[in-house]
Amino acid sequence: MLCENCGKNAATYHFTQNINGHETAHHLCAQCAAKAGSSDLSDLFGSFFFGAPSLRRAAVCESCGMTYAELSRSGKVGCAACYTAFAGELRPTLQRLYGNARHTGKVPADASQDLRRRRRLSEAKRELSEAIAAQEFERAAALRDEIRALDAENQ
Amino acid sequence: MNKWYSTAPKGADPIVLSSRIRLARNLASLPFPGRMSREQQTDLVARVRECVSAWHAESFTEYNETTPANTLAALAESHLISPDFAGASHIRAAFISGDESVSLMVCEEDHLRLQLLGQGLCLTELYAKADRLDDDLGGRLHFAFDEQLGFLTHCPTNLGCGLRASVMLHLPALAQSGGLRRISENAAKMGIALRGFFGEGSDPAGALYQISNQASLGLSEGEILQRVTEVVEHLLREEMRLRRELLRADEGALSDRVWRAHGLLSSARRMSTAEAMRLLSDIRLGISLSLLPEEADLPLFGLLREIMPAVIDPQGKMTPTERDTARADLLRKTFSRKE
Repeated sequence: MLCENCGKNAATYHFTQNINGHETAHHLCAQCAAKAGSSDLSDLFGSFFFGAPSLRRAAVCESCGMTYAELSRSGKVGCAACYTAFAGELRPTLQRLYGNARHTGKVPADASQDLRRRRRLSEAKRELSEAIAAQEFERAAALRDEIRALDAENQ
Repeated sequence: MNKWYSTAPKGADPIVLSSRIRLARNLASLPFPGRMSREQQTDLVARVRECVSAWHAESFTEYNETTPANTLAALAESHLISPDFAGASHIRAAFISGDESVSLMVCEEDHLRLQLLGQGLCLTELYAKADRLDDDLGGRLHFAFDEQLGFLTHCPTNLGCGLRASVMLHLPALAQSGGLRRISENAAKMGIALRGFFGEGSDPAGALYQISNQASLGLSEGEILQRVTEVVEHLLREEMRLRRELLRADEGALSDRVWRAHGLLSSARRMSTAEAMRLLSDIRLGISLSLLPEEADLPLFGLLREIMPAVIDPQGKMTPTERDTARADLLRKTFSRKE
């Protein structure tokens, strides 16, 4: 088996990476493994990027002028809009890094009202099932009312 | 002004040295730094300068492309800016608070890299403060955010919360026992990385290790902090157990080792960074096991940064031998008065 990073040397270093419960097997040669061990993993993910299918070799991000060729070389995007412009090309990399995970952390204060409401809705639903499991019925009733109200606003 | 690391509180944790929170943020309206024009970079630095000047609770010093290279190198050795940022040539700035606990890099890999540092295990407190500063910056600058991917970053590995939470630990007994490998493998399964802080490999200088989360998409900030804390607490228990074992096995040998370190630090006339770090590691181990008297005002973490080459020689004019001599002088002054 050849090293998945350089594609030249025999892979002698095999490891499984688990990020957020999503396991990926990697096979590297000694040099690339040493490089991966000696720096932030992100450098290596950059070079992993070459494995993404080149659906649109000539694709360009209209916002910053980043080309697909540049993106696949560096594994890093040129601007925020690149995530939309290269959504298809980035998908395999994001899958490898995160599986199907979605952002569940902070939402910036200036995010849209809709987004904040949707986020609160999913939080409230999770809290509701916790409250029911813990037999905290008063809290559950309050959460149910909140969910109804949020649902109505989202309509 | 007192730095956050300059005094070690009495009864300070013998194993946890420091905690660090780093947030990566980008503006929605600009390309990422690598693709910005000089005008855009200058403009962004000015906008951030305005935000920082409104943070009246602390005073910030600005370092930028006009700062001497050796000053930037010293800041990088003190982990206040990244080595890449120190060595770059484009328009950029770092705003660093007087006590050095807050650092904000503008136009590093991302538009903003906010870093908070504190002594001991204090991730939650640091994040709470980072969160407030982030709210303030976000309100003025409008960050790029995607419902599914979270905060959008130059490198896809920083997506999500854009958060890296790290804790620096002193693990001499675990390093000596060879037990770190297994713990490191288990931590990796939780998405937590354990690596040598100064230098890689099986024997990092000073037995200092950094524990940090690898990814921040799919987990909330609270969950990330909790996971890192869980791994840290496990390491603390193991390290303390092994230290007591070392003591039981041969107290005489261990006592000899730490007093020899004390002897060298209080007498040597020349000392390399690596040797100083190894000896300071032994001193710290000795204090934690009461083999050496506890010195509440011995700021070992502060000393660790003061012995770095560019910190010893901010002008960059000394030869390596002169630096080794200056380092030995500094350490001798600190240790010989402790008798």
